[in-house]
Amino acid sequence: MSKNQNNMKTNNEHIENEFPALDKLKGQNGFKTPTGYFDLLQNSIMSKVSETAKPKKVISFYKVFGYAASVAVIAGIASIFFFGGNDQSSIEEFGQLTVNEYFEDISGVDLELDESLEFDEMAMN
Amino acid sequence: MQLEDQDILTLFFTKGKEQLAFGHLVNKYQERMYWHIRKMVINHEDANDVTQNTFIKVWKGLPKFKKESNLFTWMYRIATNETLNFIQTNKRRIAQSIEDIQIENRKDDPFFSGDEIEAKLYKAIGTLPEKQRLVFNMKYFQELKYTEIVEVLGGTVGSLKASYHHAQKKIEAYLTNTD
Repeated sequence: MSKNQNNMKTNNEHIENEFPALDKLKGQNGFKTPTGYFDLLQNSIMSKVSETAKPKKVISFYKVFGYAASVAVIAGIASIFFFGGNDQSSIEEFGQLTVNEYFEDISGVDLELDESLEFDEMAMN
Repeated sequence: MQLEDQDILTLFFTKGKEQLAFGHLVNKYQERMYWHIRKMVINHEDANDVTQNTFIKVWKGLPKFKKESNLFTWMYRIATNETLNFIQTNKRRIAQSIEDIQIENRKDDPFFSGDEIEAKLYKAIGTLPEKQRLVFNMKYFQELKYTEIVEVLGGTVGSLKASYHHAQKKIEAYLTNTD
């Protein structure tokens, strides 16, 4: 055995013997549990888990923010098409509107066609 | 049959298999968690409560568990935090539990069967500061690696080694000097 190995052995022995009382007690466990305790513990934990049912899935803020941003962009694009398309269609349909419908459309006032006709007749007389 | 941690996690993240996976997890780790907690709080009833609370927290926390982390040390961390919270709010009770360990007439104690020197050991451990007690328990009783203890308690391997060495010295002195 070399001198180095001898030194190492001496060092290890020194470390092992530094706490002889502790070394002697290693691996012992004086605490006791009631008989069959761990079977009961598992049942108890599992019944509590069943009460809480499924663990709640945690959705991160960034995920929610991402979804909200996507919805906003889609809504924005849709509104451009929707309102823009409406303007276009109103021009196309312009020629098909009756006068009354036209005035209703631009002023929002509900004109009675009969009244305006009466007004025209009075003017002619 | 005990499943590997990775298999338990895979099962847990399979729809409808959460409780089955959790059952495997409890079965695998309940004794280790219980003893980790019991060595800190001493009293069986307290250890039982803290162990159950720990597993409920594990159940609630598992959906956000990062799979690349170590499940075992993550659970130890939860158990340790639960235990420390319990100790903080029940300091007198813990002190009483340590006081209650009988060095003589141990046959009267339904929850302790150790011999005289072992009873002294637990009393000696009870004199350590909380963090040192945790380090000592995790190394001496549960034989965790320093790297694992670092993952649970933080700090460095060097500081934990020093802490463990100080704890050993104090306990050895208590065991050999106290009548």
